[in-house]
Amino acid sequence: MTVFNAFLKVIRKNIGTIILYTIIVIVFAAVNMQTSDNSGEFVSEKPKILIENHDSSPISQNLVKYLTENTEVKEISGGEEAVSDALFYREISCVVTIPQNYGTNTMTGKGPEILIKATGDYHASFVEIMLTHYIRIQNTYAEISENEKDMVKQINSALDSKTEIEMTSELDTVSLTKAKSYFNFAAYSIMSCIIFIICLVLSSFNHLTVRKRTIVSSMNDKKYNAFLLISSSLYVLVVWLFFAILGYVMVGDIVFTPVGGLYILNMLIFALTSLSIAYFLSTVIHAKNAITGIVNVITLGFSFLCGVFVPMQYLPSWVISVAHILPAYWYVDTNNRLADTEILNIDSLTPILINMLVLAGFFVLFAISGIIVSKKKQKIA
Amino acid sequence: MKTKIIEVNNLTKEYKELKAVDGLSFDVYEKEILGLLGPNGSGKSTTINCILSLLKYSEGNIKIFGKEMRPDAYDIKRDIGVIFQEVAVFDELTVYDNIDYFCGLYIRNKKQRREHIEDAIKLVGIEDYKKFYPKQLSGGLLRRLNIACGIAHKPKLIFLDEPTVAVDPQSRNNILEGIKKLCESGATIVYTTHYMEEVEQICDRIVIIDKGKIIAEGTSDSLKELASIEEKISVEIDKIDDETLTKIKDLLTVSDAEYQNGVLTVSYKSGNDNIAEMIDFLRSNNLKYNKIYSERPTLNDVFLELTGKELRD
Repeated sequence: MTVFNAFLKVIRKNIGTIILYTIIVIVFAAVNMQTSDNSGEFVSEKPKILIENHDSSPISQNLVKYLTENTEVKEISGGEEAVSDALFYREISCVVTIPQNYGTNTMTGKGPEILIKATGDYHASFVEIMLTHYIRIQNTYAEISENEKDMVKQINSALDSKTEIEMTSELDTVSLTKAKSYFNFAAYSIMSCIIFIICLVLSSFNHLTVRKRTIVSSMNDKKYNAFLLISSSLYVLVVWLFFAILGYVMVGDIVFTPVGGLYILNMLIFALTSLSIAYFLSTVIHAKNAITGIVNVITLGFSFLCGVFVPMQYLPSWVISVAHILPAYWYVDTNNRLADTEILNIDSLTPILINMLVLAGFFVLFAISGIIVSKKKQKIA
Repeated sequence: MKTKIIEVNNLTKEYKELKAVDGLSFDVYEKEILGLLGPNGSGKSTTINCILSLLKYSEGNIKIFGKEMRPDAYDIKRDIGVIFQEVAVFDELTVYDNIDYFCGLYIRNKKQRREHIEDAIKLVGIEDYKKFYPKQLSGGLLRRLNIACGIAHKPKLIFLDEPTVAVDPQSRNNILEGIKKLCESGATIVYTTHYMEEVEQICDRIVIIDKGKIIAEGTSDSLKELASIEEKISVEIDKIDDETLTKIKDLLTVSDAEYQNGVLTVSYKSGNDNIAEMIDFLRSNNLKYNKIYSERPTLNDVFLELTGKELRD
C-alpha cells in the first residue's frame, strides 16, 4: 500500500494537468460536434433565384411555374444595380432571364437562349441542372406538339412522372457522427492524461537515487514493480472510465448500443496502449523537464498525423501512409468505421476487430520494449 | 569480544582495465562508527555499493550480520539504512510523506511507523518543516531530510555516504550530532567522507583508502602515530626571507618548514611543546607575527606521509 499511496499522492500533485486535458477534450469535442452537426444528415433546401420573364406565352409561363415550384423566387426592385448587389451578397444564387418570343421561337425550333447570371455556387449549379432538365423535355416535345397548350400539357405530364424511393437505413447518422467526433478527440486527451502523468510519476519512482534507495530496502523488487504496474493500470482504468462516462454526457445513449460498446472497447485498448507507451518512455526519459516537451511532440504528432484533429479524408495520402505505423491511426480508423457501420456481423466486424488487434499489438510491442530497456538499465555493472 | 556486523574479505571490483577496489578486507564491529576516509575517486562509494549488492563485484565475499549479502537478502536489508551522497527523495511528496514512504518500505504497521517518523524528524531537527516540499527546503535541510528517510525505520546498520557534502556548518554539526546519537542508541555506522575533521570528530575507527586499497587502519590516535612528525606550528607572518627559513629548517627537531600565503608552517619530528622555542626564535630574529598556534599531526599529514599527496588532492 505504501507504493500505491505514494503513487496516488504524486498523481494528486499533477491533478491540474489532468483537469486541463479534460477541459481540452470537452471544449474541442463540443466545438467539433457543433460545427459538424449537419454533416451527416439530409436537409432540404431550395435555391433563391430571380426570374425576369420578357415573354407572355404559355410555354414561358409554364417554365416560370416550374421554377417557382422548385426554387425560392425573390422579388428585387431597384433595377440592374440592385440585382447585381443581390448576387454579390448571395441574397440570390442566380438570375434567370426568359427572352421575348420565347414561346414562339421554341415552337418554330429556333432554339431560344435563356440567359443565366449566376454566383457560381452549388445553388446556381442546381438551378442550371433543373433548367437543362426542363429544356431537354421541352425540346423533345417541341417537334411533336401541335400548339403551345398541347406542348405545355406534354411537358407537365413528363415532369410529373416520379420514382418512389424508400429509405431502408435506420442508421442514426447524427448520433454516430457526434460519437465519432467525441471518441476521436478523446484520443488526444487520453494520450496526454496517461502518457504525461504516468511518465511523470514513473520518472519519480525510477529516479536513480530513489531507485537505489528502494533496491537497498527490504521491499521485494518484484513486489515493488507489481505495485507500480497495478497502480498505473488502476489509474488508466479510472481515466478510461471517466472518458467513457463523459462520452455518455457528450453524445448520449448511443454509448449503450453495441456500436457504442465497441467505441468504448476501442478506447480501453487505446488507453492501455498509451500506458505501455508511457512505460516505455519512462525507461528512456529521465529528466522531468524533458517529459513535457517529448510527450507534447508525441501526443500532438499522433493527433495531427492520425486524423484526431483533422478528419482523415482531408489528410494527404502520404500522411495516411505514414500514420499506419502509429497506434492512434488504428484507433481513429476504428472509430470512423464504427460511424459507418449499420449492421454488426462478421463482415462489418472483421476490419474493426483487425484494427483492435493491431492496436493491441502496439500495446505488446511497447510493453516488451519497456521491459527490455528496464532490464538492461537495472544491470548497474 | 565484539560482534562482527560486516565482514569484507578480499573485495575486488574491476571496470574493464581499472581496479576501482583492489582486494579490500576489513570488519565492522557492533555499535562502532567506522570511517572510510579517502580522496574523491579512491573507491569509497564503490565499496559501499558492493557491500549493499548494488554493484556486482569481481572477487571476494561480504557478510552482514553473519550472513552472505546478496541482492535478494531481504532479511538482511530489513536492518540496514542507507544515506546516499545524492539526495534521494520525491519532489511531489512533503517532508513527512517522503519519510513515511521510505519507512513504509520496511514497516507496514501504521502506528509504529508514525512513531518512528516522529523520532527521525526530531533526530535531524526538521520538526518545523513537516509539510514542506523538498523544493522549499535549503540544501542543509534537504540533507537532513535525506538522512531522516534513511534512518526512520531504526536500522541496526547504517551507511552514510558523504552526507555532509555542500552542507552549511550548522546543518553539518546537526548531522554529525545525529550520527553520534544513532550510535549511542545502538546502531553500527559506516561513514564515508573525504573530510578528515569529521572522521576525527565522530569515528571510533578509521580505514584510509587510496586507489581502491587500504593504506592504513586504526583509531585516529594510532593512525597519527604513523606520521613522522609530532607537532606542527603555524605562524601568520607578513614576510620571511629565505635565509631565515633555512635557519628554521636547521633547528634540531625541525623536520620541515615552508612559507605559503602568509603562513609559516614548521613541522617537528618530536616533542609537543616546541611553541616556546619558536616564539623565542621569532623574537631573537625581530620577526613580527600576527598569530601563532600549535597542532598535533592530522590525518591529512598521515595520508601525505603514506601516499605523498594531500587528502583533498
